[in-house]
Amino acid sequence: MDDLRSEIRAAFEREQAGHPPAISLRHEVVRAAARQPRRGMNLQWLAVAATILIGVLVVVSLMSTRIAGRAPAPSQPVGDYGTPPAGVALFYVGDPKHPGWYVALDWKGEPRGTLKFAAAAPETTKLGQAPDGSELAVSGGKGGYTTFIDPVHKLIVSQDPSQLQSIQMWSEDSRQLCTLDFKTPNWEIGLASPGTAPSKLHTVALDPTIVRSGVIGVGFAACSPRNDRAILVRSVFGYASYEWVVQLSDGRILSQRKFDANMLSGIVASGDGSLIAESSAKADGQIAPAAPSTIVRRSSDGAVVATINPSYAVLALSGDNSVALITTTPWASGVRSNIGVLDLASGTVFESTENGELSSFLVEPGAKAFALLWKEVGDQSAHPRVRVYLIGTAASDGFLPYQYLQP
Amino acid sequence: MQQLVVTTPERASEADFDALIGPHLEAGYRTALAILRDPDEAHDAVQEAAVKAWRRIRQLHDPGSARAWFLAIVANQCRSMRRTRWWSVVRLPAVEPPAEDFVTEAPDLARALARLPREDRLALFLHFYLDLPLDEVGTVLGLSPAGAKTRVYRAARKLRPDLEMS
Repeated sequence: MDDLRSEIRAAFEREQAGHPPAISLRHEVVRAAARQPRRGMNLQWLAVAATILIGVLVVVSLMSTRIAGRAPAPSQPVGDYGTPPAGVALFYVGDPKHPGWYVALDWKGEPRGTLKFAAAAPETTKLGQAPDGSELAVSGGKGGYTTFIDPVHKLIVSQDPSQLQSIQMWSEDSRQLCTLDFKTPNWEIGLASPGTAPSKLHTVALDPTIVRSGVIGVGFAACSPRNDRAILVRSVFGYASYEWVVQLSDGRILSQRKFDANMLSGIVASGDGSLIAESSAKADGQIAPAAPSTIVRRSSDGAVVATINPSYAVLALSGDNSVALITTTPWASGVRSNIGVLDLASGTVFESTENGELSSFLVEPGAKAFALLWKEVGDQSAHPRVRVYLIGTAASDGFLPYQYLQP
Repeated sequence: MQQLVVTTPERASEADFDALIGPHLEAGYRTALAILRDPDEAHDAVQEAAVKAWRRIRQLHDPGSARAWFLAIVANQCRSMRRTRWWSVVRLPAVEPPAEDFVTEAPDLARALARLPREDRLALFLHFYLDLPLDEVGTVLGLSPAGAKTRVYRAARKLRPDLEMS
């Protein structure tokens, strides 16, 4: 224990050494404090009582305004908000009071509609959504079918699992899916509408040894028809080993990188495929070997635009490519999450201090915001109860008033 | 040791306040720095805590416990700042040089220490760095001395899972 005491003391001494207190600290602080008036006890209690009274009146008046303005009342979580509007970016969360219902929230955190299924979805069912929420994919249902839903027009398309010999990702514009077909000797990339076969396929000349290996491990990190670009990533045993920048219109590989085993914990890309973040394996708690830093680079020329501590991992890049959502400690199940945001222009990190476990997150299309779904630490349920925290929105950052279920 | 000059804290003058709280301001700043990891924020926190201490000085019944009493105010101020300014805690990116890739025990422990939950870090900081006895650690953390001992032990055990409690 004595050895540990010395080591801990030494570690704190190293932390503190760079920022000693100002010589004038005592004088300045005491002087500034002593200039502040002291209130008498009676006045303090009077002020407290008055504050509480005013607070109660304000809350009551606000509640009455909200009750009159819209239903349901704030104290009754969620409910039926009608048909979700078209043309508005939305994201869906489960209604804990009504099994099978999903509430559509806009990026100001306002409920804008409710999608209602007749019965509660099975535990195995997952509700995925296009980036703007205009289409949804219900997967994991009976027979392995994936059902695509347009929540406005209730258009439903079911995809036969036998057709799913491809890897898919929603396109940035939420209208199509990028597909990578691995049935053939050559892997082919294409674009498809939900539930349909891609109209054109183009061979992607991946390393033949990968194609022949039988170990697929390849997925999309970005799909952008607008930029004619897809980012493909290969991960083996949990560590990223390849990244490819691919031209969607002809399958041509524009650039590729290969990484030594255990150097990176993961690779993510911005929705439009213009930025790629490579997170050091140190972000997973690995000491060595690992990439010396976590970086964000441009996909067009490979130039590094941000370099951060290797113990930070990038989870996502914002829709406007201005900030990155990061974890400052390993994001692991059953452990409190430490989440931050990296401003790519200045390189500064804004760190969070929420006491919970990050369950999931969403990226606002074309904008700066993220929606963070926080659950109780250690909650292992398939659809945990979550609090939604919006950051980087036009409205003020903060938790939304209700608890929801992760869809 | 400096003699305590204040017998009735509610009537403390600036000089009395300086004698009572002044010696603990550096510890307050260092505690705030350990929690917030930002020198400017730490300075703000200790200043706010001092103002609160000045206004609440009548609540300090035992001048001998001024250190733990003041550090508890500092810790609460830091928690409050982090809660209310979730998004404004700015940290410059610290890119480790490649040389640190070599595994040594001390940086490894420092990294593990940095990843501890903040209340655990605070317990270790108070006990092992500021050398506060467990009853004072308990006062700052709002725990009994036994609870403080358990907190310190558990936090240390997160750094060294094989640690035996003594």
